[in-house]
Amino acid sequence: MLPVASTAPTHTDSAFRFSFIGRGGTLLGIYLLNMVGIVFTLGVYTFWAKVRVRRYLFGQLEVAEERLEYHGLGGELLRGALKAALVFGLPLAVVRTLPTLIDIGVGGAVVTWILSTLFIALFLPVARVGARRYRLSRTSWRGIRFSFRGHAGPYLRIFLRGWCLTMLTLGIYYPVYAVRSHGYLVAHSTFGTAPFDFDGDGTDLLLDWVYALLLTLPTFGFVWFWFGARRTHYLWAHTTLAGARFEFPVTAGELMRLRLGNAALLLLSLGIAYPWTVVRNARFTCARLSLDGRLDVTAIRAAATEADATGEGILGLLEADLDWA
Amino acid sequence: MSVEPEAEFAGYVLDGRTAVVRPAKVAVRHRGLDVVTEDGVARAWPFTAIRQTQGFRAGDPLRFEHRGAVMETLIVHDRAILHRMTANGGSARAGRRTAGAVVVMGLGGIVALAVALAAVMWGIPAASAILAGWVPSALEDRLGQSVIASLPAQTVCRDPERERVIRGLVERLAAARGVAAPTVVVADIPVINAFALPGRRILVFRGLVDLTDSPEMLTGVLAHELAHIVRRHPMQGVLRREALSFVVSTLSAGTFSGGAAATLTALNYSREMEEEADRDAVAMLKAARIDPIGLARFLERMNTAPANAPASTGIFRYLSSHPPARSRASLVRELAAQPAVPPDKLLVGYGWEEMRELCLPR
Repeated sequence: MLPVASTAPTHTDSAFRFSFIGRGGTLLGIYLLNMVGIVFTLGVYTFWAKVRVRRYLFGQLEVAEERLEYHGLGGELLRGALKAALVFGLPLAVVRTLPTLIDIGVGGAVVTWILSTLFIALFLPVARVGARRYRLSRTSWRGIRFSFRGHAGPYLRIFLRGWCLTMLTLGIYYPVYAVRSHGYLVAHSTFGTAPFDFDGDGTDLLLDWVYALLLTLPTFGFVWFWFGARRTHYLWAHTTLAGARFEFPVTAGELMRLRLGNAALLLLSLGIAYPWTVVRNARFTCARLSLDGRLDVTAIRAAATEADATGEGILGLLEADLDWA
Repeated sequence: MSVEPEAEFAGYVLDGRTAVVRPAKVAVRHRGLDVVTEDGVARAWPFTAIRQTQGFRAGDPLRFEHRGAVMETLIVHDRAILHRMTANGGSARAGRRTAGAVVVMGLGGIVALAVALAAVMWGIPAASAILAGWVPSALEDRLGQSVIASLPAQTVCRDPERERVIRGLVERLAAARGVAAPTVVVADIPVINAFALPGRRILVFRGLVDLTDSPEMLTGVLAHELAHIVRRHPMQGVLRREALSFVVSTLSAGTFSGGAAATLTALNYSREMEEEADRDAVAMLKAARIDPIGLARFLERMNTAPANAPASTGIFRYLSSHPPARSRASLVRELAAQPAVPPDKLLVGYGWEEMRELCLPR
């Protein structure tokens, strides 16, 4: 054999850097081909189309010079959607259409409305947990899969308690709920044997939330860029992986330029520029995100878990499946 | 096949057990790769066991998965390896869809499309025809009632005396056919249209009444709508539309609603149903000793009526969901003549001009 120069990434920085290499034009091509496939197959291709987009986006995301990889399959998503239709879609459709089929009076209609709303409220957290479990189990970096070890029960309790307290406090409690809900999902995620953790409880954001509410009108809503920057920074600053901490320094001005720029792109292009907004968002995040370099990745071992795509399917039915779809 | 000389490339291996990056030398052999990592571990991967998962675009590193007890990954930056692999019996795009797979997918798509079309054209109509017979009459009644209730109150024509005349006509038809008489509602809408609704209801628009010049013409239309009711066409239509909307929106994961497709197929099926209803109507009119030519004359008149203009928009598309009125009129005349039954003269108690005023305010 001839001697060859090594191309292996050598991580020597004091922090792990993230970068996104993807391009809007390529993503647009994928979307257009997907559209053709979806129309040609009467929508059945939707699940494979999702996989193509995710595979491209994940494959363009580099962490310490090594790309992420998405391993999901269209067939898995299709099976998940069919299961979701059976366990969630069908019962919901029955409860929803009951008042139009039989005369159950106003009281009956109210009861069925409450039942269907409760049904959705119960399934939404279950779906989120299931979708996270599936997505993480199909994502890898350096050949090691991510996983989620949380359960629907505790997450459901956070969800119900959060919404009750949010309503009782006229919305004041919302950031605490949102942070705790996010924290549960993060703190039960792992990368191989390395656990993620989240040590924020959201009360630190309460005052900022109240300021933002009070200043919405005087600032014509621009205060929400400031709050968004605070919140994003807070969420990352309280996230750790095997003891190493993430950092995401971002200012309100930067966030405002990103969001308004995206909105202008979408408006001027009548939506065609959507792939470029996805790329802009990914680059924005990767350019600022870093992970404390003390993390010893060589000590991390594989510890994959099984997951199916039913949660993904339910989220799809609830139309809450917006991230990187 | 000529075998290219062995070539060597730099890369690295992820072993699937740890997150350690293992620099490696990769040699492309005949029908496989030899991968030797820095720690001296040698792997022989046949092309048949590896799959390319990334690097399909220029500039992206090539990524190959080897499926064994644990999935190992090889990453190589030099794209020349693809050429070498092809030359040595591997696929330059290992793991990507081959031309054969694309053909299979294409054929699969065509078959899926054909199956879906067959289901839409025959499966759903056949199923709805069977299911319509199982729908409880209370539910049918509720559906029909909800259509009437959706009309603005002021559009429902209220004239007890003339309503009694219409009821008399429809009762005569129903008695001849041996079924219960439906309820007829006339709406003050200047459109030539009439509907058979679920729950034994007939909705007639004032535009249609205005077009008639004799009780036989209106009775002909009522016989046609009653025939739809007897054959449970309204309920079949509701079931068919709902089923199609559900199928289309489910298959497209909510991307498309079934509305447009449902309307298109409703057009096809209703042509068959319309002909059935015309045939039944003539038989019913003959049995009631009412001149079926009234129905033929109505259809001929409708064919030339300028009032069809408003009917061509919105839900009031009388002609769009029916076969051409002229051919229907010919069919009715043909059926009326074999054998012709001498009809009774329909008398309603006063002139038909007066009868048509049932929507005028009093």
